[in-house]
Amino acid sequence: MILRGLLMAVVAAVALLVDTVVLANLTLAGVAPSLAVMTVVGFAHAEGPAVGVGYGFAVGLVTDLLGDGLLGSGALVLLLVGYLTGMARRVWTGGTLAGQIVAGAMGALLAAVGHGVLDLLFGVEGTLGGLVPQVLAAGLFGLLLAPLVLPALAWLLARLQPDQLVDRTWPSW
Amino acid sequence: MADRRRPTLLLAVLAFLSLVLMTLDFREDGEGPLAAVQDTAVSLFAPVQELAGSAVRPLERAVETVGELGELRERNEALEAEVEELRRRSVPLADLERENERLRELLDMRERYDFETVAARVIARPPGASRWSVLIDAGTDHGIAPGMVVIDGHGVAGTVTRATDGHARVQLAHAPEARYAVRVGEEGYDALLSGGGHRPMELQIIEDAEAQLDAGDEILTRAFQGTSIPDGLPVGRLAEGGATDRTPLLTVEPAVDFGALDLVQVVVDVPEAPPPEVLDEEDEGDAEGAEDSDDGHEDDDADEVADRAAAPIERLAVTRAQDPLASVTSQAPAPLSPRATR
Repeated sequence: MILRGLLMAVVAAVALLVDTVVLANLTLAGVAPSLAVMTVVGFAHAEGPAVGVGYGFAVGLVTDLLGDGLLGSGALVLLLVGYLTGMARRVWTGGTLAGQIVAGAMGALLAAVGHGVLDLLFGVEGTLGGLVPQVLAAGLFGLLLAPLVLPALAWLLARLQPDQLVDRTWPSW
Repeated sequence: MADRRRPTLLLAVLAFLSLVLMTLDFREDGEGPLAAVQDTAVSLFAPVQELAGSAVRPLERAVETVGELGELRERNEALEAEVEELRRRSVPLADLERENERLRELLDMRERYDFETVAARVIARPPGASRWSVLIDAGTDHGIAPGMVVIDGHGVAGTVTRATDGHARVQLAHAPEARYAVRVGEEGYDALLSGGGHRPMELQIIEDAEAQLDAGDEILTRAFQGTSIPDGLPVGRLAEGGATDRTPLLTVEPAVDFGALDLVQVVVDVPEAPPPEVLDEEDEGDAEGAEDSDDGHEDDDADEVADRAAAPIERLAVTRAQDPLASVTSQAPAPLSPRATR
């Protein structure tokens, strides 16, 4: 349990580092790919909604602290992403990798919609129509990142719990 | 069943907590305990980002270089042509410069003041959805304070919003909340420039004037009493022309490529007085008595700037006089403006 928490903290830190230093300038329609969102989707997909909510909130809060947006907005969006991904996992019956990719794209879309709606509510900028290209770009990035990030996270988690009854070996668990 | 209820409860509690935080932050508006926590978080994470950045940068450059090979050849040709053109123009330029100097002497006009800048590197962008700011590796230790303007080789990049000891956050000029007092066109109409966020920057003419503005007209900052933004820095160009009285909002092409910011300069020292106009005899007499008038003040400032520029800290003095755009002011048509050289 402690090890798992540590793993999540390290993953979150690395994801934020990559987001802010490397990926920040690779923008499409003004949107940059976000590894942090993808890790939320990944942990929620692998561990369920409870972990998704907790981890999403924590990563979102750190994002808010480091960023310049409204404190708490990132936390709210990412905990919702974590919750919904975790819940969707229970009803989804598709194959492993397909499920991960769909979850990644949906999660990224959802995060973009969430941020867009909050921006609208708080009058920061924009119109509902102007959101469309950003949401699509975010979804596309999610689609591209998910097959890289989600299996890697699932594999890391499986390594930490070798004696579990559930067989969680790479690539399917 | 317990497993089913736990995440929902957690969701409710944490969502509530987020909403509380948002409300507090919305009210707090940049001051108070939450902002202090944010500053601490930034100053803890920034060194790591700096380290990661310096590790990644050579790699990024290598990738970029490969990608740019074709473009480089084209640019080389263009640059060679430009060198030719400049060489041809340099003769009359030198002539104008001499004439300018002589006229200055004749009028006993002082050199326009310098402003002092601190060089800094862009370390990182903020995480999350809002991408209208950058983190730079210079802070209050280097004399940086909120409100200072940040420039790069092309013009205004943004304004410092928060500063910790070693780092500062810069709100980019195209942030949705960014507003700049500017002037535009040959006549220098007063205008307000708003960053558009995902949309292009917009210009709103304030002055009640009937005039035709053309696409490509330069937009320059306008100094105000109480702000630390120097006068005459380029911010952008009009992307479309229009009549000032009929078109309330004009789109603007920013001078700076916000996606490619790397090395920037923070203007840390601007004399509080508006830029010195072309002085005549009366002004000169007044200035000796009144301490705060631009003339007497300017002299002190110039000395001070010279002293501080010599300090070991990494500082660069940008000479306004060297920038041909800098000396176009709205109030003074400036008969000696080096504008003729353009």
